[in-house]
Amino acid sequence: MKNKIKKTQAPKKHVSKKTQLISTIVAIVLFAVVSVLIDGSSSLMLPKVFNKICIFSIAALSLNLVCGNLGELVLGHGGFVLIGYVVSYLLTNYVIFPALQDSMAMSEIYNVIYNVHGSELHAAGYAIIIGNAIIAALITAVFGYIVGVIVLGRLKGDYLAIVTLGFGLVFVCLVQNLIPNGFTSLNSSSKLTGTPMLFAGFLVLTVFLLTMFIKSRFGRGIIAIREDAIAAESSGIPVNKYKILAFTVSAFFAGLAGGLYCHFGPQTAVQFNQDLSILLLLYIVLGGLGSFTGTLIATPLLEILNSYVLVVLPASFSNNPKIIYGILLICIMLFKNKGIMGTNEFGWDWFYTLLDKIKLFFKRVFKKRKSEVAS
Amino acid sequence: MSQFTTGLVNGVSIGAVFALIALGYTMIYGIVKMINFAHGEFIVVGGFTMYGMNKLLVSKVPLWANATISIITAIVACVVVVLITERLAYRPLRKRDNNRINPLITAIGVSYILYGIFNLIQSSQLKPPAFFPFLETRVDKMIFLLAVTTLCLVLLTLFYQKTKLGIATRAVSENADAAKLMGINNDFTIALTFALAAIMAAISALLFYTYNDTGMKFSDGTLLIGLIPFAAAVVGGIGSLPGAVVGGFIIGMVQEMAAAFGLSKWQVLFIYGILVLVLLLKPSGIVGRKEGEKV
Repeated sequence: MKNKIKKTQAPKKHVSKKTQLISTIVAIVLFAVVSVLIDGSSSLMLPKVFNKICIFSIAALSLNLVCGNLGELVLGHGGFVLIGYVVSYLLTNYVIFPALQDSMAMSEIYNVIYNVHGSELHAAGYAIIIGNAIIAALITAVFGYIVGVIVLGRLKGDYLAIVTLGFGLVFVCLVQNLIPNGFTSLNSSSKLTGTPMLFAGFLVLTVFLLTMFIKSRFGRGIIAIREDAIAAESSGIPVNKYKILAFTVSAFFAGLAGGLYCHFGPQTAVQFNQDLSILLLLYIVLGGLGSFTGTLIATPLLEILNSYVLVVLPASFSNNPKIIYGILLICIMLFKNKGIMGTNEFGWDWFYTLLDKIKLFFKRVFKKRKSEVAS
Repeated sequence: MSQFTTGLVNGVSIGAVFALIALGYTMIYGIVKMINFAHGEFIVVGGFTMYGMNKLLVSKVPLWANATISIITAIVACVVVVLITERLAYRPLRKRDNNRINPLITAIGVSYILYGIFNLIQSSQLKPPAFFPFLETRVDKMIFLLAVTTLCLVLLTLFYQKTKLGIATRAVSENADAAKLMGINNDFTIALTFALAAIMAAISALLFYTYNDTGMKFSDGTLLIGLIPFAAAVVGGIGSLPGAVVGGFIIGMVQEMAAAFGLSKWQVLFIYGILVLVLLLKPSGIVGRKEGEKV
């Protein structure tokens, strides 16, 4: 006789303050250990992939603010990343280098900023890169504000998606034509690979600031607009203002990602076209629209897939990651259209509930096997 | 020819091609309110089939038979691919929820998959088959392209205005639920629209081959063949048939005039600049009509 096992849902758990504190400390220690391990590893690939994950996570998080939390589809986010990149590039190439060139040789400058030879970054290098990225982010935020003011009051939904796509392509075209020899003058030896902590630090800061933002009054307003714009307006939320605010903040972090990407290594303007925008969209859709945690899970997954798994496949496949991205996108949409996390965020309550669920699952499997053996 | 006439002739020619492609976008948007990002790839399906069939038959049958068979095969292949896509990817989503973002993302996914498949098979440039040797000059080609586009537009308009199925299609695009209550088979009507769009895609592939001597790369896919005509559809007013044609000619003209006056580097800027301008001044497009906001 077969016992039908009743499916019981794990109850939602509320953990005490003490457990939360201990869990947080454990998580921080784990994170630090992993970072130090990556920092000290002799592999050249690992820090590079780690840095790329950090940069793309920042960009994807900023897109998630508009697409997930505000609920407006943006298809030209790569354009904002490009602006950050260009500002950072121009600053480095035309302001910082000439200023330093009076006192030292070019190779020495590279050594100070990027530290080509050693693995430790000079304090001056840190300051330059951080300042650079922040200025890039601020200028991109201004662009985001301008685009937002022009666009958001008039358009929404599909039309907004199209017009942002148009803006993204216009930015790419402008940069291509105004900086004709591309970014080649930024020496290719300037690839920053030895310092994952810098990028990781920016990622942690981004997550912290965005979480604060979304939990603030403004963030709640933005989520209310996603749920129902008309109801939000009638309960006193200035819809258009909040939309522009979300857009500006999103552009700020996209510019930050672009500014950091500049120091990661030289790119070409075409790489920031709609393919990048859609790649970012894939990250947030896979993770769950409206969940920062989801983005933080999905971006490393896909990036690792891209740099470690696809390389093993035959060349025609690894040059064509689009086919895999496409299959992923459709599978998410058809079978789990909320993504990995839905709109849930990470919290210790959530984490322990998840642990309970996993425990319950294993128990069920185990019991089933036992009852099968018994019968 | 002076710069201006070159621009004019090329502009009208590519405008006709864009208009036809934009018709495909606009038909699908009109009925399911979905931007079919994969339309560019559907055109490539048509082009690929046409090229392959032509290569198979080239020394075996006379040119007219070759052309006819290739074109018909391309149309059939397009319709089959589009209907399979519609059945497997678009319909389940449409049934489940009326979220507007999800279908768009699915369409991008379909486009990526088709793009990937074509790049696996053939990523180099293919020389187009010459189906119409009697079209010698650019002006001849222009007249031919114009004639085909006009014919398609007239046939489509007749279909939508006069036939029972066409009227049913319009009813579904006005109000799907009410149409269902009146006994219209929504799924069939939508599938029919997709099939018509597929036919348009196959014919656009033919026109693209006729216009473009150098041929198309299958890796061009959505970016070159899809996005610009899509911008045209939006400029004209997405959802309206005459709008698509007007937008197609405007965008084609802008692109080729820019090229004729030595500004081909700035084409993208002009095209999307116009798109952004039109959307900001009149979001419903030049010909489109305004939709009231529903609560």
